[in-house]
Amino acid sequence: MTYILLLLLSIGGFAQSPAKFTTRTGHVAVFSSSSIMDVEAHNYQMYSTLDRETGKTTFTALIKSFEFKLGLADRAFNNKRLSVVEKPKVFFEGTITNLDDISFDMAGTYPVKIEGTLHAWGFSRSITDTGEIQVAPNGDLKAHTDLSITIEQESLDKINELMRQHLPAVVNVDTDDLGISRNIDIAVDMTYKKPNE
Amino acid sequence: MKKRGLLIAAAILVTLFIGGYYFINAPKAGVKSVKAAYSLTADDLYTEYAADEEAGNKKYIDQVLQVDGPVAEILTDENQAMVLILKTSESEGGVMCTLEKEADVAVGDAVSVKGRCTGMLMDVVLNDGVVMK
Repeated sequence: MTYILLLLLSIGGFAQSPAKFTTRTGHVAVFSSSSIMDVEAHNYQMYSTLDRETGKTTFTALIKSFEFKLGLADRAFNNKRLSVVEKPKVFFEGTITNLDDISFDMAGTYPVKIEGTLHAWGFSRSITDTGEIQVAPNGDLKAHTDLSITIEQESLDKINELMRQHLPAVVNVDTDDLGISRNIDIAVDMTYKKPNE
Repeated sequence: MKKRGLLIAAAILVTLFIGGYYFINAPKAGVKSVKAAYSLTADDLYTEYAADEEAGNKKYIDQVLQVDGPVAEILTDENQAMVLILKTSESEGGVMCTLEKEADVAVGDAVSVKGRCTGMLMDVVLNDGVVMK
């Protein structure tokens, strides 16, 4: 009887698709606005996982892989004071809370709710947000979510001070306006190939 | 005379404005003409990095590396850029290099790529990559 049960369990296990979707080339974009310009950075080297059975999802991005549209911000973020070498990663771990609403075996677009924590530079932020998963007919997934965080005034001051330092004296711009704001919007896009069976 | 002075002042202001705008918006430099700080195989780079990631970060982040290895996989990222995964003896990890421009490369080719190291995820990650041979 035990053997039969084990056999049935193993058949069940083989019949199901592997649960974990992964991608190495996810995209995370970060936006922050000031009164005179927008600061925008893109990273296309994000590693992400999504477990269809548990709803657990993660993404990890290297800070040095962010490319700023504004060269000044790029130089500020390359500054040693930001400890990028000591803390080189941004990491998000979360869970899809409405997993039952998503059919990973049926093509379609499904709204998702996500709860999780973003870790960067030693701080952690709890995030609850929404997104979307598109299941393609071949089983591949496209996922998109928009997250919002508010950073500490202290971190904001540090970054804006670095931008101020990298601005040449001849440029007559009010750097209080030039810097980023406390509100950061994050857009995440991933394309996951269906795991090999 | 006064008019000439005003014209010179205006020209200086325009030059400063353009210079300042360029300084604020100047893009990052490419790596093609930069001498690589380290030249090594994908296997050696991955093995060293995976053994001590913290030491790898200190040694390699922001450095231009020239890495040799066989292409295990070719991907296209969300920006439609070509991404090479160089194989290592580890089944999971490798060296991932996002190319600046598409290159005539196929899976299985032995290549030498130059790129700027940004750290380690599942693979050691290079950005601004160029295929040297």
